[in-house]
Amino acid sequence: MWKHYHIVETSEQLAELLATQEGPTKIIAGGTDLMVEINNEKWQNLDTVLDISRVVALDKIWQDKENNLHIGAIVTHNDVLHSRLLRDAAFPLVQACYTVASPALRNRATVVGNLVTASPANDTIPTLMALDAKLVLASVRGERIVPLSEFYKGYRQTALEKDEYVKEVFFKGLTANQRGSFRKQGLRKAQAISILNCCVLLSFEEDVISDAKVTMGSVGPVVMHAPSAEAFLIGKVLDDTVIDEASRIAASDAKAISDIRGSKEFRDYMMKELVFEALHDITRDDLRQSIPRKPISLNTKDDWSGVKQGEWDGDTIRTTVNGEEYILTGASKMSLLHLLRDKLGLTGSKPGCEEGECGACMVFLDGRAVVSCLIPAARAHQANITTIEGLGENGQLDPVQISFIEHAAVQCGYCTPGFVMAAVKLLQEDPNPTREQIMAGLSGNLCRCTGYTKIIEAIEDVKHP
Amino acid sequence: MDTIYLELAQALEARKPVCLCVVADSSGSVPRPAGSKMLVYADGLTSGSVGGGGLESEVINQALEAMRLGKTKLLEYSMNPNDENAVGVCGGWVIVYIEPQLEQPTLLILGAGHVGLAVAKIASLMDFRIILNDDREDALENLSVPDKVEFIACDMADLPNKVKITPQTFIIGVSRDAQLDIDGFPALLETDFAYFGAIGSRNRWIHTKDAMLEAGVLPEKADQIKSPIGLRIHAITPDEIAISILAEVIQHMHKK
Ligand code: FES
Ligand code: FES
Repeated sequence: MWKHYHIVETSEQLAELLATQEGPTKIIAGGTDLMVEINNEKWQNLDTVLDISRVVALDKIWQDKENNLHIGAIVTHNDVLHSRLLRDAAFPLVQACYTVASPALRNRATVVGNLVTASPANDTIPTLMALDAKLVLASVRGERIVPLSEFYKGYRQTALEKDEYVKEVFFKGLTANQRGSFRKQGLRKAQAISILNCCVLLSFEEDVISDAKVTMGSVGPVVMHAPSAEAFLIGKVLDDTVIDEASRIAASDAKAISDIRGSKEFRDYMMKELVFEALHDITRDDLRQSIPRKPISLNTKDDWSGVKQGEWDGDTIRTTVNGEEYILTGASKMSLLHLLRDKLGLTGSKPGCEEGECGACMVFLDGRAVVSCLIPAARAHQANITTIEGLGENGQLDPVQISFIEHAAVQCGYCTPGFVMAAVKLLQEDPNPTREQIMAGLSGNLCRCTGYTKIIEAIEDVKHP
Repeated sequence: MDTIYLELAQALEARKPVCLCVVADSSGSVPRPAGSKMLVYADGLTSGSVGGGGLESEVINQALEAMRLGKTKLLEYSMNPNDENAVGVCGGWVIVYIEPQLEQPTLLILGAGHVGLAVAKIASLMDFRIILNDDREDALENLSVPDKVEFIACDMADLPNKVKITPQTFIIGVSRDAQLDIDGFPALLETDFAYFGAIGSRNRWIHTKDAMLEAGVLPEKADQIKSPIGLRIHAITPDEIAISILAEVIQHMHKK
C-alpha cells in the first residue's frame, strides 16, 4: 500500500504537494487503475498517495468563449454520459465512455485518468485524439498546454513531469457539418478491455468530405492516426465504395501487433470491420439512438449540497456506515473493502477478484454504487457508506432480497450481495427498468453458478411495498 | 414497427419541435383508418398521413396551434358533404388526436453569482435543463454545482449563437452589473423565449431600460422583460430570492 495518504482540497494544494514530494508519489482520483496495481503489489515502495477525488475545481464540464469544451481532471465516465453539452457536441466521446467497463466503475473512473494511464487500449484516447484535444498540465511552475498527440512518448509513457498533474482536457466541440463515431471490439459487451478500437471524424462541405480523422487504438504501443485513410477520404463523397476502400486502407495503416488479446491477422481483419462500421455510422440518421439519453449509472447522488472536507489528520477516518458513525484509526492503509470486512466486521461485501471485475464487493458511496475493492479506505472519511448489511428497514429484508429468495436467484451466494446492491441502486434510479436496463445495471457483476436469467427475473419481479 | 415512431425519436433527439397526429377513431368511409399517423413540424412540413386533402390541411393547422399552446387536442371531423363543416366528401367521420411533443423546459441563467448559483441548485431538484452563463470563464472555480448544470462562458450577447432559445426557455437575468444587461439583453430579446426576468432595484431597471431604448431597442420589446424578477415573498437571502424567482417561473409555466 502507501505510507502517506493526503486528501487534497484545492488544486493549489495539489501542486504544492507534488512539488515537495519525497518518495514515489501517485495521484489517485477514481483509483480504478491504480488500486488494481496496488492490490497486485506493483507499487511496493509507494510513499504518498494524493487523493484528488474531492477537489471541486477539477470537477467541471464547461464551454468557454471559443466554444472549447473542458473536462476537468475528476470528471467521471458517467458524468460524460449524462452531460448534454457533450452529447450535443462530442457524441463520439459519449460513445467511447459508454463502452468502458460497467456503471459502478464508470462512477469512479475519470476521463483524465484514462488518458494518463496511457494504455493504448484505453477507449477515450482515439476519440479525443481525433478531436485534436489538448491537455492542461499544471504545477507550481505554472501551466502548459500539450496536444494529446504529443502527450504520449511510448508504451504507457507520457510527457508529464514529476511535479505536474493534468488539470483538464479540452477540445473544440463538433459543429453542424462534422460527424463522427467510435467503435470498439472487446471480448464481451461490458467490463472488457479493447482488443481494438477506432474513431472516425469527418467534416463535410455540402456532401464532400473536407477533413478526415481516423484514429485507432490497441494496434501498437500508442494510439495512432491512419494517415493514408485520412488522405484518401478528403475530397470524396461518403458512399459504399468509398467506405469499403477507406476501411481497407485504414487497416493497412494500422500495422497491428500480436498480443494476449488477439493475433496480428485477427486485428488486421477486425480493424477493417471497425472502421467500416464507424464510417457507416456517420451515414446513419439514428446514430444518437444507439445510446440512451440517460444511461443507467447506478448513481442517485444528490450532490447539490456540495462536498464535505476537512479534519483529515493523515489517519483518522470519520465515516458513516449504514447510518452509524465511526471514528477509526490505523485503517487508512487498506482498501475500503478490507476496512468494512476486517475493521467493522461487515463481511457481507465479498472479495472476489479485487480488480473491479466481479462486483462482489459493491457498496454505495455517497449515493453511487462503487466497487469497494478499488477504493482507498480513507475515501470513506467524511463520506456516507451503505453496505448489504444496511439494506432493508426495521430488521426486514429489502424487497430485492425477498425477490432473490423467491426466484432462487442464488446458489453459492458469493456474488449475491453485489448483485443485490446493484439491483437496489438500479431500482432507485429507475423503479420500472426495462430488461435491457436491468442487464446494463448488472453488467459489472459476475456469477459463476446461478446464471443470470433467474437474477434478472428476480429483479423484474420485485414487489415494491 | 411504425416508422413514424423512429422518426419521432429522431426529432426528439435533435430537439426539433414536432407534433404527433393520430386518427384515433373513424366510422363509415374515410381516407385513412384509425391508427394512421402523421408528424407535423414547426415549419408545417409533415411526414406520414392522416388522409390528405382538406382534412389533412386542417389537422396541420390545428397541430401548429397545439404546438404553440403546448396543449393536446381531440378533434372530430365529418366527411359528409351534407354537413356544414365537412372537410371531405368520403362520407364518414374521423376523430384525430393531436399531441405536441414538448421539450424539457430550459432555464437560461445569466450570471453565476450567488443568486444564479442558488437558482441553479434549487432548480436541479426539478425537471429543467439548466444552463448557467457568465462572461467570466473562472466564475465557478472552487464552487460545487450540481452535475446537471451546464456552464457556458461567453458574453451574454453571444448566447443566441450557442444555445437554442425556444418558447420553452426561461431567461433568468441575475447578472452582477447593469452594464452587462445593457450590452447583452438586446440580442436575447430578439429570440423566441417563454419568459424573461431581470433582477435589480427599480432604479437599476429604469437605468437599464433607458440605456436599451437609447441603443434602439423598441419599448414593447423591452417591456417583455419582467423586473424586478420573482414573486413578492419578501425574500432576502440568495436562496430565498431563488425560490421567489423559480416560483414565478413555475407560475408562468403552468399558467397557459
Ligand atoms: S470487483 Fe471488487 S472484489 Fe471483484
Ligand atoms: S451464486 Fe455462486 S457465484 Fe453467483
